[in-house]
This record gives sequence, structure tokens and C-alpha cells, in this order.
Amino acid sequence: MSLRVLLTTLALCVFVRHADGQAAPLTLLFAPAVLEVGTSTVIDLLIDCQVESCAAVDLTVHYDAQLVRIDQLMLGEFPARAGNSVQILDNQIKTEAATFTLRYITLSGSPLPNRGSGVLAQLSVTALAPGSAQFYFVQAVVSTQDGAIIYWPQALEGTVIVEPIPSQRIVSVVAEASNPEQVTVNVPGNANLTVAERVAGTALEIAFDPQISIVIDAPGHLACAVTGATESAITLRAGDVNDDGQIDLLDAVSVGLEVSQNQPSRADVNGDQVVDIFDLIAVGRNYGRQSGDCG
Amino acid sequence: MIKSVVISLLIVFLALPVAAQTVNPLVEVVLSTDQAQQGDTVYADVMIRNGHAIAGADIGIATEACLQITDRQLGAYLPATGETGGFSPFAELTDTSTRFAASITDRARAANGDGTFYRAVMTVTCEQADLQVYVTFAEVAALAAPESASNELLGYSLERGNLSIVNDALAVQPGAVAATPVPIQAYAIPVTASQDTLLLTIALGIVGLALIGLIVLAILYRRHPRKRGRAQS
Repeated sequence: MSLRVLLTTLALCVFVRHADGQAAPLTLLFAPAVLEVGTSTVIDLLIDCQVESCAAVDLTVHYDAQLVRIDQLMLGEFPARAGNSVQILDNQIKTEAATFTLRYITLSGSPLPNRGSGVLAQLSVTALAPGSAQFYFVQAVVSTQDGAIIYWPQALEGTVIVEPIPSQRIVSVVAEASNPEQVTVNVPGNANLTVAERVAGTALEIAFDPQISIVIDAPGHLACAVTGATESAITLRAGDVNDDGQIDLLDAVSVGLEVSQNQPSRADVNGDQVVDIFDLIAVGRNYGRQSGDCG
Repeated sequence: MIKSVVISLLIVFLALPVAAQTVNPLVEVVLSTDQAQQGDTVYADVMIRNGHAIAGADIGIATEACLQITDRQLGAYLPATGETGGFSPFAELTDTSTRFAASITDRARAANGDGTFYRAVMTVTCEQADLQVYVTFAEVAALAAPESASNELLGYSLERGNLSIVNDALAVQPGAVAATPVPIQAYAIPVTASQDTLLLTIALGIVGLALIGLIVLAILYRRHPRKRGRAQS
């Protein structure tokens, strides 16, 4: 019953001014975000509520569907803080209309009023094309728990800057048990691709076209694939003694049988020129890992 | 006739070792009992059979919710500690599953034939059920040429399709009497070369003392012929 009353009140009072006639000290703000085409991020919709209570929210936001895609809309920590119970009335993304809607109320009996600042909602956004993607509110209404007082927030827009994919990506590779000179880079058979390598301290820096995937490897290590989405710092895992793409029992036994034989061997997993307990530990640490994407 | 029989026997004898070597290992779960009741302790022995120069094993088993795994004990088949000539690169234990891997570090510890790799100790937690204890992962590594110094390995696994497994079942019902389990035989700490020499020295010392004693007795026997003669008369 109280839900219906609140919704009716919200709908009827869209044109009603703020109760005391003053500008409400209430803002809704999208945290600024910059991301590359093809990548995703989570954007916070922030609220700063300095009024009596921001217990019920009804907002619809338009976004630039040419530049970004909203994958998911989640409630933030603000509505349910202090153990408040929240009922979501509407939470949907309308791709055709390029809008998303969030309506919820804090249920009666909640211990504390919803005040202060926090994260009202979170959007999972994927960048589609370069540009400046504007978010603006089609509707934004906030009210007290009983709907008696209606507020209209300020700062009703936000921007997500989508940058084009850089022409070159640089990753830094460290091999657990090899010098950077021993790291090898395999590029798929495409004549137009260029990969630049440079030793920087204990790492090998690789610059490559992020549109393609490269494979990095080192003797006794697990090979892995690097793409444009891979993190910039990569560690090659040691222990793949037999180079079969997995660190398993055969690698462990290979190291075990070479322990303390004091001769150069592929079983020297940590590269200290002797096969000993530390090589066994290295295999144990990475035991069960398989080749795949780096990072 | 005799000649052909001898030739046939020779062929059989020559083929036997070859045939024995081509039999792939088998991983078998053997429960200490086939029936039990709530609260009973049941043991699952994870056994490796038909092994030939086994240098390592990595075997996981799982139970159902009614059987809670509480412990895992190493068997006598492969060493898993430095003092016994092995190590364990991986070990995992949850309420309903366990996986354990061990590898030798001493070629002399390579295992042959049948034996218990490890034992899972389980408690029955429900009143009635038909349960399975089954192998979830199995990989066995063997020395390809145990007689040579080569460390080349042969891999046997479920994925490769060259390793067989046998699971076991348990019936849980009120009043069921569980069979008495056989105590597990743990991997023995091997005798080192220096210990070997010490034992040999002690044995030779005992033999030497015994010989000296015999000689002394013989001398004493020869020195008192009269007493011997009187005793005889």
C-alpha cells in the first residue's frame, strides 16, 4: 500500500517545487571516466544528499548508444547503507531507446535516513567508438521515505570519454627464472606486424599492435598470449620443464630426478645454475598452471 | 618333439618380461569395508597397480556429502619427503575430496608392482545411502628406461587414455557392521650407505666374536682329555 502511495505521489508531484522553495542541496554526478575502444569499466553514479532523506529514487538516464554500451546496472552502497532494506521497483536498460531506468525505495522501518554522499548506482560500460559520450537525465526525482517531500537533484549530466585504440601497446615481461634476453616473442604470420623489444632492467618491454595477439615464452616457462586487453606487467611462470604447456607431474618428476646432480639442466627451474630444493618449490608454486592468456 | 617344446618355452619366457612391461598402470580405490553405519570411520586406499619404475603420481579422489574426509595418510608406494627420497609438489584436502601428488628425488625409490599411494580417512555422516568413492584425477609418471641413467619419463593419465581406474562403493545403513581395516604401511625411511656399512661392520664383528669363541672352546676341549675320558668311562 505504502509503495503505491509513494509511486502515485512521485508521479503527481513531478511539477511540484521543492517544499521550502529553495534549491535542494542534492546532486547526482557521474564519476568521470576515460576508456579505450573495446574495453569496459564500471562507472559510479554518485549522490550527495544533504536534505532530510533520499530514501526513494526515480531516474531515467539517456546515453550515447553510438559510443558506449551499458552492460549492467547495479545498485550502489548508498541505498542500503546502515542495514536499510531496499526494494527495487524498476531496473532496466533499454538499448533501443538508449536509456536506463532505476527506481527504488527504502522500506519503512529502516533504522537510519539515507543521507550524506555515496555511490547510488554502478554502470558497467563498454566503449564502442571514440568520442565524448554524454549522459543526461531524462528524469530524476528523489523523495523522502513516505514521499512527502520531493527533491530534484542538480548536476544532471556526465561524460565518458572514449579514446581510440592506441596504435601501439607496451607490455613489460618478467620471466621468473630467466634473464629478459631469454624471453621470446612469437607473432602470428602477418607480414605487416612489427614488434619492438627492449631490455629494461630485469624485464623485457615489448611494443606491439594491440589489434593482434602475440605469444611470449622463455625456456622452462609457461608460454602465454598477450592481447590488447592484457595488463601491462606480465610474469612468465617457471616450471614447464618439458614445454608441454602445463606444469604438472611430469615436470615435478623431471626436477625431482635432477636434484643435486650439479649439472646444467632444463630442470633448473629458477635459473640459478643448480637443481635443488628451490626448483622443487618453484614447480610446487606453479603446479597445475596451464598455458593461456597472460596475466 | 622335445626340441620344439624347449623352443616354445624359451619364446614364452622371453616374451613374459616384455608383456609385463607393456601393461599400463591402474589406479584403484579400495575401501576398507563395503558397508558401514553413521559415525563409522572408513578408509579409502588409493592404490597403484601394475607399476613399473613409477617415479611419481598425482591422484585425486572424491566422495559424496555423506562421507566426510578428515585426514590423508601417505602409503608405502612412493616417498613424499626429503628424508625418504621424494617430495610432494601438490596436496589438497576438502570435506569431500582430496588430491595428492608425490615424486621421487632418488631413482632408487622408483616403485614397482602394486601398492598403496595414500589412504583417505573418512567419517560416515548420514544414516542411509549408497555411496561412491571415485577417482577424479590421475596421472602417473614412470621412468622410460629405469636401467639406464636417462631421466626420460612416460606419462600415464586419464586424459592420455593410457591409465585405467577402478572406483569403489559403500552402502550406509543402520546397524551395518564395518569390516576391521588393515593398518596402513607407511613409507619406510631408507637405509643410507653409511648406515649400511655400520650394520655390516656390526654383523662381521658378531661373526668374528662367535668364531673366536668356537676356537677357544675347541682349545679347551683338547686340553682336558682326561676329564673327558673319565666322564666317558
